[in-house]
Amino acid sequence: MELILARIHFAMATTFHFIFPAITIGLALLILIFQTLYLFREKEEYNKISQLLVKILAVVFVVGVVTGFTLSFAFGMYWAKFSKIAGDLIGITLTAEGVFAFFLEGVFLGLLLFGQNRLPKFMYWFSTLMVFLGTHLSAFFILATNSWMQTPAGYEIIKNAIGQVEKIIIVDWVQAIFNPSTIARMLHTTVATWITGSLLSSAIAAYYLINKKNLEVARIMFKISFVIFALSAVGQFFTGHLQAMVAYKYQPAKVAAFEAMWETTRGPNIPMSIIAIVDEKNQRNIIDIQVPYLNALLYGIEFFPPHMDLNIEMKGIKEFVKTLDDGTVVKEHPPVAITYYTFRIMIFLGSFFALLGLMGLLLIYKNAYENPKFLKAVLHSWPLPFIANTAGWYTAEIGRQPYIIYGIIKTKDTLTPGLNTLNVFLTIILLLAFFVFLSYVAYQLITKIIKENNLEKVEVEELRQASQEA
Amino acid sequence: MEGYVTQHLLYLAIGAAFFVYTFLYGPILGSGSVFHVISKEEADKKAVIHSVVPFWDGAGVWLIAAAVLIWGGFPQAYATIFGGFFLAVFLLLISLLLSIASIEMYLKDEKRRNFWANCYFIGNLVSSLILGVALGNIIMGIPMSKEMWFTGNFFTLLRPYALLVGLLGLSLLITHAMGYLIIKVEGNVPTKAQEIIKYSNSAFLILFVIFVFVTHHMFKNLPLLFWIISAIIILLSISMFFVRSNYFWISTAKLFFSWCLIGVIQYPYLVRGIGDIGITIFNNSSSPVTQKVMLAILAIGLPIVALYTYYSYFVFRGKFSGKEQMY
Repeated sequence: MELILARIHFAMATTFHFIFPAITIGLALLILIFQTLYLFREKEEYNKISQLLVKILAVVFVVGVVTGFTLSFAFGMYWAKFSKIAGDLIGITLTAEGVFAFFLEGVFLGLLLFGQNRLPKFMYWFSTLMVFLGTHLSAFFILATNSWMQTPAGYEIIKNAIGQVEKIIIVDWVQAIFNPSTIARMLHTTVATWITGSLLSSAIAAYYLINKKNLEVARIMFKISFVIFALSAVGQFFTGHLQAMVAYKYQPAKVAAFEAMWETTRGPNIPMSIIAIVDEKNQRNIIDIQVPYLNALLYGIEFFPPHMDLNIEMKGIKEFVKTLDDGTVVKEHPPVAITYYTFRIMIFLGSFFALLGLMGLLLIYKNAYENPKFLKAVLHSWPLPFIANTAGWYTAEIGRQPYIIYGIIKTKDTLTPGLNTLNVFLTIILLLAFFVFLSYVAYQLITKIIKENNLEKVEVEELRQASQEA
Repeated sequence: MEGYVTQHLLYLAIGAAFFVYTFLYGPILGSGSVFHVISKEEADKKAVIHSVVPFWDGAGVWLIAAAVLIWGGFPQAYATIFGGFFLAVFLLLISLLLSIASIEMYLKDEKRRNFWANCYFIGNLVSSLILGVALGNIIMGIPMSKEMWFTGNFFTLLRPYALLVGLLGLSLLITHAMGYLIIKVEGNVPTKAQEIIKYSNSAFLILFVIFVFVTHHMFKNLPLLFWIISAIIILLSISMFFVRSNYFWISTAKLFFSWCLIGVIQYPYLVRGIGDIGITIFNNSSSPVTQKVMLAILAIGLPIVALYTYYSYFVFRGKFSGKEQMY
């Protein structure tokens, strides 16, 4: 029971957390772009846009820190054995994250939020650069940690007398940090945050355009944000493919679950299931719409380095079900249905973003983007990246199960000894209540910032404030 | 013996990170603990918050840094404390979250300003207390199994000595924060802070003498260094009654020597057990590769961190009145 609750707790805490850094990282890129334009082109509009985004970033960042803080405690509280076993790796990646990233984003965000009137123009721009760097480095080190849990490297295992994993020692830290999936995961996740941030920024601009507010500024904001969105959305297919290839090589059980493929199949005709109803109990798919050859094409073609071989073998889920001598059945594969569906949700939404992006690029090119229908579509799409991000995250994390560190130790063996069911339950309820409340406050504040922000009249406002202070 | 040097350096680094955390985040913990006393009116409350808001995040990271150094350097110690002190750690987590959230939300969320003021008060008061109580527990020793897991319960943690350390920490943090407000805030707050400092410093002095006395009785063979550092802390506390400024720097010195004192009492333990057991810097440390890489990261990174942290305090130098436009 405490195992299930601890899992629910972690799923809840990560799901909540992942919403906010995705915005922070994405907005950090946009703020850097707008401030850089402001630095070189001296147009007040760029500064106004980035000021608006900075205000939103400030609110989001607080919630991100609160939920992130929770996670750094959660490893020790609920997964103490994992903390002990993986301490060697965590020591390297999280120390680096703290020293190189957290301080950087923390200190420079303070300068960014409160330093507009105190900093020279160049130093203000420099702060946006450092916040960009800090948020991205932070993503890198935490994703390196996660990647190591997916595709461990550079380690040695120490076992105790009865053959349980006692500790994992890092022998090569470069291999551990740059393990097989780090780069692909970093690219894929970072681009996902860019999609999130730039679509949010485009949606805000679309809101102004629809409501005929701040038109001059909103046009600039929309065009630049949307171009970044479109490029990221299209690029995401390549990073996604890169990551799928890593999974194909190192985590075949996960890929089998992605595709709900029960039997091992050999190319070149490996069909891809587009949508199916997965019947996990009987190990089959009930309704299954397939496209022939597609999986062979997807997993048989590599871009870096360029390589094509369609005669590949894809392992089926049944290969990962083992029957021991005493008759017990051990499943060495993740839950199939949920992995399959979350993967589909991510892919469908990703395709939608790419289509929306390409359509928008065309409209911007023809200067016809102020079409109310198109703007409304952009406006109402803002929550979708969060769904895609969460679905992708679930695919990656649930796809790693039953292992916490792939192939080495299972999640169920890393729980804190003597964890109390009632305590865990209480913490879930309290944290959930607090997170929901805080997110609600953040949402209220952000909508207020967007609605009340009068980008046309900022200078007048400044004059008024200046006279009041004097 | 391989790792001998790195284990000691990491032990020092953990202590240093905790010191810097209390030095930089202490103004928040302490000012929150007496928030409604120090600032009765909204203008004063705003001034207090303005004086800390540009720095809270950079300062708070030092606690994360300390926790991560324990985790990476001595994984069992981290696992035992966080997994074992479950409810206490959760309470600390929630109160720290309230502390973090309330700083920015107090200024932004005008509709619920009173609510966030109360969060700032409770969050910081409880955090300050629990940090001290937890420290008291690992100094006096906790019941643990042979595999070095905590075997007590929540009430084990509330033993008198631990509570004493909790109050000691609270009084020191309040003193430190008042010193900070005196140099960073203008208006009514500094006058009030001058008053509070007298009480909090007296409380600290009395509690500290009791602490020294009890600690001496618990561990008979304390080194000479223990007595020297204790004497310095007592002298610094007495000196605070006679100066009219510089409170902040005296309390910073007190914080520094307090962490030194804890280091001296604890060495070589990280978490003392009851009986002939305990987590030391020798029996659970991570591999030499990890420890070396961690120290290299600190050696490269911290000078840069120090530089831009200093820059940020330089940019936001001078006193805050609560009337300035922060956004």
